[in-house]
Amino acid sequence: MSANSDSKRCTRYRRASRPPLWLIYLLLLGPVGLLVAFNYVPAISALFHAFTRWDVGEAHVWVGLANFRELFSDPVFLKSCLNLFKLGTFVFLVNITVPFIVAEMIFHLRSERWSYFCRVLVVLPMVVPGVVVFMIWRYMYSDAGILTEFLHTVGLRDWIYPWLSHPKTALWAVACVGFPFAQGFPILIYYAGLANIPPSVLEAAEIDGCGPLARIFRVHIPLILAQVKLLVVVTVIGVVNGFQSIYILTQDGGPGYETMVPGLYMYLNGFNYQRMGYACAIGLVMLLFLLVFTISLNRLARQRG
Amino acid sequence: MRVGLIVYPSRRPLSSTETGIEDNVSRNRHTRPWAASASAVSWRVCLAFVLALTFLPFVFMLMTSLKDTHQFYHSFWLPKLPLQWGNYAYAFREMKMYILNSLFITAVSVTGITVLSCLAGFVFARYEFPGRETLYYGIIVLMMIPGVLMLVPAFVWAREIDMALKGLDGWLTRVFQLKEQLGLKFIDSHWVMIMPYMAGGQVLGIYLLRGFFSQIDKDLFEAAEVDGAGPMRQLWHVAIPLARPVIGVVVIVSALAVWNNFLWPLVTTSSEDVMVITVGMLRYTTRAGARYGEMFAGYTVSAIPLAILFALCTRMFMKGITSGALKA
Repeated sequence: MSANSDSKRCTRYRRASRPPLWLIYLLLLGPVGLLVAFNYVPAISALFHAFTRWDVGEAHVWVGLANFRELFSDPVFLKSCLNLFKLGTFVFLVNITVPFIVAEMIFHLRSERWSYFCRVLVVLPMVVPGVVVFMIWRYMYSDAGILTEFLHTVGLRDWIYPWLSHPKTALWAVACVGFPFAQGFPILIYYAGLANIPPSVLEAAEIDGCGPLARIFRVHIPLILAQVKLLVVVTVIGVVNGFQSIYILTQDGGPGYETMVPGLYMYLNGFNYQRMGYACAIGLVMLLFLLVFTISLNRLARQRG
Repeated sequence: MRVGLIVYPSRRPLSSTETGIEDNVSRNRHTRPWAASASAVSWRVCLAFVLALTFLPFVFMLMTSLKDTHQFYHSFWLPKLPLQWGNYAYAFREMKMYILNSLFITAVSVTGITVLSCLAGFVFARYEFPGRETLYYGIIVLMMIPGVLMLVPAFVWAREIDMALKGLDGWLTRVFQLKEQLGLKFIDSHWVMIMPYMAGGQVLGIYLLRGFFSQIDKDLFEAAEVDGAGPMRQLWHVAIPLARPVIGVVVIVSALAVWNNFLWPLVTTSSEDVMVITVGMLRYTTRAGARYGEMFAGYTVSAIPLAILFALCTRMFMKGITSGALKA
């Protein structure tokens, strides 16, 4: 009985200590107001205008699903999807594996000081703005660039291409930006996963006669699946949304439409071809694709574990 | 003090002769010591090779930034004296405005993001009120929608705000009989970047800080309350000092995002006096043309502000890169 009254007094006390409701809502007004003004309004507008014809300087006209019907028979869009698929597969494979290998190498360094030093080194390039990195790569592929100069010096003149403007090489040149793909962010994520494996597990594996390869495939990888999943999601979202590199490297997805991707096509439709309704439709398709992908990956992960 | 103590390399287990224990593991390691060390050495050589390749473009950038065009063509692969410091003078002169704009926008946005997410995170974590979870999930769900996909409608919306502001400006001029217009505008001003950055950046901050604040022991707040501290003082004197590492993460993550943003300033700004460094670099590169020394000096200069931040708080920086994503 006394405990009961005690707790009652406690709750009454706590409730009394809450600031008035208007103050709470006032405090949340800033964040929520900003979000409504700059995130919700554009998002809803994008959703709505995906079903309209909306050209610059003209009122929008409701056209139902016409944008989507046009989209899926638009050769440029289909080409851009194919490009994204090729580019994405390559970037995906490379971004998942190479950082893992580098993280393993760093993890195997015996001395903590060297390992920390290496981690700082792989993060260091992040101080250069991403845009500038792409500009450096644009230079690297140019005819006064490192790649061309290197092939000159080695004597392989026949191998020299105008990498970014030749239809055969352009897409792969874009894909290879960032070679050797040892990016700081995924390496740190993997390293954190590896460092979190309890030493007892590793010792047990060693006592059971686990060789270095078996240790990587049977112990390390199963135990860092959460990190792998995170990186898969981040990489796919990044690839689908990231057309900055292509904008800087080839401007308009050229030569022809060899390096066009849906994101860039959306941008060009909205800002260069003045077809904003169509651009919104492309954005909506990309968003739906990403949502389906993320949700099904999560479901898959939950089924497995 | 024991003299003659053998100092082993760190983390190397004692071998069987040292410990006197013969077990499977140490025997295995003992029979093929050369194999173990060879593999360790080859791992390290690989690692060094990968790191060297990663840094090749940046080393080349630093080296070339100190050459003039003649030196660039005649000594492509190696540094060449005399060093052309003039390239940096040129780069600083040309990019001063871009850097100042970027610094201003980043400082204001990051401050705003931090303040807003501390307030909101605290309110969400500490108090119950009608509609709390609805509001919270209404905010968090935005992490799922990449901002790039809303670029076009966001731009049109910003232009509409711009027009409304200009209309207001004209009205004010008429009503108050001003000699000239106030020059209110949204597009092509600093605020067209700052406001959306604050809106988008606070989402992760609210998420992280609500999580952290709700883990703080309630008794701490109640003790402060008994001492007569209102909500603001509880936040300032109890919650924020404890959350300093999390706030550091929010600051670093949002500073990186704001600093590196390219597409939004590209479509919303056009005049030099509000241009940020990412878009400015595009113009700078065009202006530098084939003068590679100046071009690379500019690239190097663009990295200096973040390099300073990195040098000042390396650990925070490295934590910030991962933990924002790990918790999300």
